[in-house]
Amino acid sequence: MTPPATPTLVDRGRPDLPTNRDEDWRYAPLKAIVAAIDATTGPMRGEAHTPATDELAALLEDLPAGYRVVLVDGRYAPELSAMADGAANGPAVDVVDTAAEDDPTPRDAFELWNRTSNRHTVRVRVGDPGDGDPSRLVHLVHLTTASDGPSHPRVEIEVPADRRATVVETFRSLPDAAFTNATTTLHVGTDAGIDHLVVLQGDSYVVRTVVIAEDRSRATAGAVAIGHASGHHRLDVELAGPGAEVSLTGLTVAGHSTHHDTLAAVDHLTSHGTSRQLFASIVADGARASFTGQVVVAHGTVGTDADQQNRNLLLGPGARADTRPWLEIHSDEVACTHGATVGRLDDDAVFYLRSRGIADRTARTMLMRAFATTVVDQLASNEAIRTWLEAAVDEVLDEIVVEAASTEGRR
Amino acid sequence: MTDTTTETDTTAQLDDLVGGEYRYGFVTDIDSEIVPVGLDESVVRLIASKNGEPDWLVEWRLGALRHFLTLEAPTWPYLRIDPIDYQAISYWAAPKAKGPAPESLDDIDPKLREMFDKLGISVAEQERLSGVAVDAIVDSVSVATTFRERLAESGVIFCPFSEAVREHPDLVRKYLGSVVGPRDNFYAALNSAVFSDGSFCFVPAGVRCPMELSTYFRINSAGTGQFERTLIIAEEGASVSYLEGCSAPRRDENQLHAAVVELIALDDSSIKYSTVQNWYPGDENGKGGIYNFVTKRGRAGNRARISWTQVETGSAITWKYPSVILQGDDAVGEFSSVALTTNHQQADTGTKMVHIGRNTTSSIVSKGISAGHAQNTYRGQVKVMRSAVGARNHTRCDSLLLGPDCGAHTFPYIEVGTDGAQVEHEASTSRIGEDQLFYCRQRGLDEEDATAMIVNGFCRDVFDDLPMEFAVEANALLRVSLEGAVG
Repeated sequence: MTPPATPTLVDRGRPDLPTNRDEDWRYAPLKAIVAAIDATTGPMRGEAHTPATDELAALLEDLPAGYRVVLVDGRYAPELSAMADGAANGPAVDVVDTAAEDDPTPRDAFELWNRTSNRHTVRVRVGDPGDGDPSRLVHLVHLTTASDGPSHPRVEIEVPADRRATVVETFRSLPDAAFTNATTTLHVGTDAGIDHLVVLQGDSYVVRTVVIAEDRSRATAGAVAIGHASGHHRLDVELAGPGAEVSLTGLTVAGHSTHHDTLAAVDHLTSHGTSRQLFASIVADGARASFTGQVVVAHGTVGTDADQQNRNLLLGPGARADTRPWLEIHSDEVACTHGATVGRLDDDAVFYLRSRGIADRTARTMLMRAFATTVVDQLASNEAIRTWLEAAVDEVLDEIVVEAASTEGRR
Repeated sequence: MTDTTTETDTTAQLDDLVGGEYRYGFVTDIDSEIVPVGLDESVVRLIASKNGEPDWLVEWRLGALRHFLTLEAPTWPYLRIDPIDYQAISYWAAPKAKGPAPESLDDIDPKLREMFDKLGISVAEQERLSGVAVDAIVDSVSVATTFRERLAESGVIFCPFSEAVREHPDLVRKYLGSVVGPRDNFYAALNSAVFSDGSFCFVPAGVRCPMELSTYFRINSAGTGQFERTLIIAEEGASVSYLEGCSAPRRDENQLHAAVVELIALDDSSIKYSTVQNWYPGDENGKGGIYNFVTKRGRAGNRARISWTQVETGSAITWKYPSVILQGDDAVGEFSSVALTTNHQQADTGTKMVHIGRNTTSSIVSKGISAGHAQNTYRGQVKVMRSAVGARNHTRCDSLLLGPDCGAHTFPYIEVGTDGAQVEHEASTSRIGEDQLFYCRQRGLDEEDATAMIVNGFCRDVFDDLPMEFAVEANALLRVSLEGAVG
């Protein structure tokens, strides 16, 4: 698999990149994203470094057990993957040249860039007919190295009718500056079910997750943004068949002056669909989190039930949160609600803990954890994932607390 | 609707009502003076000279015009607007004066008075009975202002804008454009260039305005737009309540109304601004109607309070976001709105609350009702700056859908730049519950009555904020507008 020679948008002076004047990108950290792209492609880029397999394998050590599909810079890496050799219900991976396929019009310049830069799609067929045996967890790992400019992985995950699957998709990168521009599409067949979780731990990113839910299917899509670099994650959910049930849960922990932007677009195209959204963010001093939720209920549908919640916890005078919980309703037989809150840790709760002899810093950490845990519990479909995820979230929260303490010390 | 007992009677009556729903659609045959269509510097100069304006204001207008000509109409609203030819509109129209300018109400053209009688706001009547001071504006010119002497006794200035420019140039120059600048946005720039008249109100320090002030706007002439400018200033510790009503004749063409309202609430003052907007909404096929593109904004000083209350039932298209800049510490901003759209009406309306001062609070209550093929959008921004430590906002935003072909949309923007703020937003969208309707019908109400009652309850929070006489009018207006929209 060689990278295509198609000129990238960057080569053409990035004529079409969205700006903050585009409603979908209003809060996106475009400056940071462009800087990351420049760092991986521009003249400032450091010495190209092709990492050894061991180096990459080290990045995978802490992942929970299960099948493993690894992509390095958008290309399938069988040598790092752990596959089900001959197992009846294990995942099947297929790398297809999709350059000639008739794709729908790209949503934005980044998706177009992804297509023009990578002609191959990694197709993964998952699912077993049972209740989704936790040991059959499929872990899809995207590793971005800075060796080859921005990485453009494109993945399609298919859950055939009546099957169940659990898929965790993790984005990680080597310490050098790297930019990932990924698209993952989930096809959830009739009466099928999937638990999907995106964990963004890498460098700067633009990631799209597309979920197409067929008749009576059930999909939970999670998103965790805890990386040390800014980016934009877009979830596009289509309730394509009647009776589909979708639940979206997101947790963002923005530390280190990062800015994580999430957009969740849920299209109720058919009747009797249910969608639930809960997005929460914890924002350190000097960092920013933004959320845009778009629920659209199509004309002519009936029996839609949609709920959308966004909670933001700000941890310092320089923390910022933006939220746009949007509803666009074209049918009267609906029950749609949304809510959004922005605030800091409850002073009363902190006082309560302190009055019982708990140090201020510990009290605040406890309350932050409690805030995060309610979301993590919803995100993790099994014990192994929860333990792993809690550890990853705790690590970032600890860093924020330590950083806050050191600034306070300096004041 | 009355206590009619049989279904047929109700239907017949309803048909009548649907046929003549817009009660204010008559045209009064008054001689009026209209400038030729088109928009250029000569038109702006002509408008300025009609009002006898000083040079600085002429220059101010010309600056706005030059800026306007470089702008493009905004495309972000959730509205379908046919392209507007700004060169095909006459920018100034006035009822032609018969002899010298009217000295008092008795001197104004009897036909004009007749028109106001038809509108049910009879200027003379209102003066006598309700003790509300009224400034009535037809097309571009203010035709009558009542109760001026009594207001003057307490130091309150309430007069047509053109007169304020002549009599109180210092005040006008100091505050005009200080909240909505001439380059603020597309429609505000247009208004700044061609505004004709409007109301001016000044309440000096420490004065509580002795009566409610009111302006009645009416577009009468064909082929014109209305561009009025309202400026209300409450000095330190002053308070005033201001009411605004609007109507227009039925016409097949679309007419443009682009107004600017600026409120300046200095420290410890309070301004309450209430609107019942009932411009002609177009017929049931969406033909004709007023395009209502209005910029309304207030600036609140320390401990000042600005309240916007609006009932929007008219206009083919509404684009309007009454806003408050909470600049001073402890300032309060309030926005309560009922927006009703039926047939092919479109509304993109909401508010902006910008928190700058410490401990500023704002509350937003928005009730949208959509019926027929209408599209009703709430778009609101709550922005908390880093300086606004202790800021609080609560937003409640509900939409009601009547019928399968209408749309109700909620587009909030919440931007918080400090951890010292607390912001909450909640919203819901649904139709009238079967159980609610069933409950009412079981107790002998027909479906129309039941719907009207439920909708009324849905809007209660906002109606409670309206001054008494407006609350009654708003209620009636809602009922009339809803007729034929149900079932």
